[in-house]
Amino acid sequence: MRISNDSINQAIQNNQQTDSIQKSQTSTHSHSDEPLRDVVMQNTAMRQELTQDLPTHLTRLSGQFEKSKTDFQAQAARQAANVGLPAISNTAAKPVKPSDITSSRSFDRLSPSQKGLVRDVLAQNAGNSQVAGQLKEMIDSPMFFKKLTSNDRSYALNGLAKSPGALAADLLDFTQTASYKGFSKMQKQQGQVIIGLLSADAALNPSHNPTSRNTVLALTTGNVELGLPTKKELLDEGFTPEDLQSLYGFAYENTMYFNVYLPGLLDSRPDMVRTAAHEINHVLNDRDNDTEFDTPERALDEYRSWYMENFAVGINPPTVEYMQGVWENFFSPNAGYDNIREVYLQDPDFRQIVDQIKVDLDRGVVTDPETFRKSLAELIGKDPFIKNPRYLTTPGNLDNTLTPRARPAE
Amino acid sequence: MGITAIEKEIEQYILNNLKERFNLPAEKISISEPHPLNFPADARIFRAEKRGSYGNIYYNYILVNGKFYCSVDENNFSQLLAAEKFTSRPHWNAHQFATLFLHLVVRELRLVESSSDIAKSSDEAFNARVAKITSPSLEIIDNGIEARFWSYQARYKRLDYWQIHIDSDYQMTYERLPEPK
Repeated sequence: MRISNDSINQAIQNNQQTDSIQKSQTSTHSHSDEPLRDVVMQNTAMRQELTQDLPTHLTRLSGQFEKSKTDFQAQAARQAANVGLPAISNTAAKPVKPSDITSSRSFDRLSPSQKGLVRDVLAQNAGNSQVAGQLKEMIDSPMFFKKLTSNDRSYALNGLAKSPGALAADLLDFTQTASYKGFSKMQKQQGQVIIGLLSADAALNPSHNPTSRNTVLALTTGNVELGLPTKKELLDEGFTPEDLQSLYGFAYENTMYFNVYLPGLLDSRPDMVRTAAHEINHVLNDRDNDTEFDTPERALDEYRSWYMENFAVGINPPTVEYMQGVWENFFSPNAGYDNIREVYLQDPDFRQIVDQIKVDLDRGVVTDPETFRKSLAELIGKDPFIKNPRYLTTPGNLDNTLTPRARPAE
Repeated sequence: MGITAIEKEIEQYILNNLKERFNLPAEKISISEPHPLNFPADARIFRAEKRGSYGNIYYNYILVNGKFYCSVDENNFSQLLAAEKFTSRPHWNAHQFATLFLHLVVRELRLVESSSDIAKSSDEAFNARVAKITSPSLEIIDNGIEARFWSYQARYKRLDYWQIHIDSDYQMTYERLPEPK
């Protein structure tokens, strides 16, 4: 296992502290210990999540399943030793100066263009020790020179350069996924820009976590694959040329795809983060427990994804106004989802529950997805429109906590 | 199979067509017949969804007068209007015209016809555009058809104004604008 949890946590903590400091500088509220306590709590939670993710990562590396988490963790240590994946040094713990990088042996080994890129990043982020720390962590990682080609190194550095705040570990981890290995040069470059953007969002915005962080981890561990289809592939999947003008991304089976042909895709980080969280949520909830498209289960699945994508941008719970828009888009006469509207029209039991959601919204109360799920579960055995009862009895994944894949990536 | 049973021959046509176009096997496809608002009474729509796509990957097939028009075909809308001799026999109103367009040329956008169709936003510039929303219009002119309507994509709060021209040879040109010019 290449990732050092301590290192990632330290980097996140540095970001969180920066974020807290920035907030306290602009806040008119009195100072309290709350920000620090929140940082500690979130950091602890992050450490637990990363530890819990080890089994999934190992599943990909080893291609075999383990019976328990303990077994997985024991194997993690073995894997790291066997394949020479070193723990990343904890460089983020102390401030890194530009000269620490430019005078290092690692820097000397970079190509002239990579050196130029590093210098540019350092100049553009002068005084930002977090960015310098992540740069140093990246180029000092033995993996950087041992396992990556010169192009791979450029793409990883570019991912950091484009999104200051991104974690080196995320960009390096991503290079080891099946998705990345199957990409063309262009896709590798695009993929690292996207990973950098998502990674920076999670690292710089504590309030977006754990959802934003989990979403990045899904992609960088290969638990969910990243797809960057060509235009022809998108058209073959049924998207019309005009659809591509407003499509950010979508999921299919175990892959989250981004539409890199959408003008300005990378310009709206909140939309990208929302899209990734939303689509990966479909994958995590459904990949082993799928829903038919004209069922109450599918409506719940969409409802949950629309609801939880807000968590990834720090809105929890979503606003009443937002959920009213969701309700309209699902169930109103001119709904955007033909199939969900159709279930609503034809299934009176389902309609009764959904109408209650509207009544509650109109009095300012938002129904969370788990409450919706439990209401639907009460219809099992009575409602013939339900095709997968197990979907309704399974608690939903609301924050993209990673779950083991049924079969390892090939 | 969807909520309402679809005739075997229709289902088979769509399955064969998808097999031919994309080599998609029948077991990967689910077909249903939704009933969107404002859909013409003399037309039917079938949605063929790729299993495992969480609703993301699907193909719309519109059936009019015994002929299918698929959303993946680039000139489908022009072909539909030509087959129906629409400029000389305009039998669909503006809402129906827009709804067909929004299922063949571009998808998952809602037809909106007044500012009350969209919840107020905290974005004043957006609200100003919402205030301009009008009902769809359809005009038969000397050299073809002019249609105008608004659509809304809830996911990204994208509001578009569409201006469509169909000439006398049923060649279509259109503009997707933030608001009328």
